[in-house]
Amino acid sequence: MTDCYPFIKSAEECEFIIRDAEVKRQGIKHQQSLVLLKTLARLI
Amino acid sequence: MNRYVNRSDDELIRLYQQGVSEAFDTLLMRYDEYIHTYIRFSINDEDLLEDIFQEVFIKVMTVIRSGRYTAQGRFKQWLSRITHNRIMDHFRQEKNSPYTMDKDACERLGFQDDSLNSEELMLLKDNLSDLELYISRLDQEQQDVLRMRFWYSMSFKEIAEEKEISINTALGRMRYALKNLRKQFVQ
Repeated sequence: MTDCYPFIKSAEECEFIIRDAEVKRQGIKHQQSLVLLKTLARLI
Repeated sequence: MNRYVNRSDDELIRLYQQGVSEAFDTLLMRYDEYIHTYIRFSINDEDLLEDIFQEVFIKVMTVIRSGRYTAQGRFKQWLSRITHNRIMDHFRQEKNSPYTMDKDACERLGFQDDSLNSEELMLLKDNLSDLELYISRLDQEQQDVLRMRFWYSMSFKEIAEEKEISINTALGRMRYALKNLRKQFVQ
């Protein structure tokens, strides 16, 4: 892993990066939901 | 600050019926966290959670806009009921899918559905009891790491902290646990 991705120093850091990315993805998806709903509310 | 933030639910609903879209935004933001948490209580899949969240509020806006909203003074209860019904719809759909499991197996695996035909059930139970037997033959330390990782979805960092060991040790125990399980399955 660290050979392919030298900026990742350890398994711990790798796990943190993955979790952090997933939390961010979920947050973005929820923000997209809110925008979608607000837009729909103006269309119907 | 949103100028409708101090309005009651009923006032916001009336305003939205009259075409004030910001009133819906205020309702959405007021109940965003509540509904998100409500769904999360039953649904573990984040993408599905988001789909249900959207469906709930689409239903809310269509009912209000069409003038069919009749739950004056009880918006939160009405919203909760819509959410509950949508979650139940999801589980009913799951039940009719060919990939669902029986209640006993589901409970043991931590799932929440209850349909399997008897043949599938037998196969699943056999595999489960084999797996449980093989896990029980592992060293206690390996069993602990395996269960924490797969049963409770803990990260290796969390496992290491809980067991007061290094992450490398946790990873090593998991590696040996899987290796030993594979060996037993092959035999």
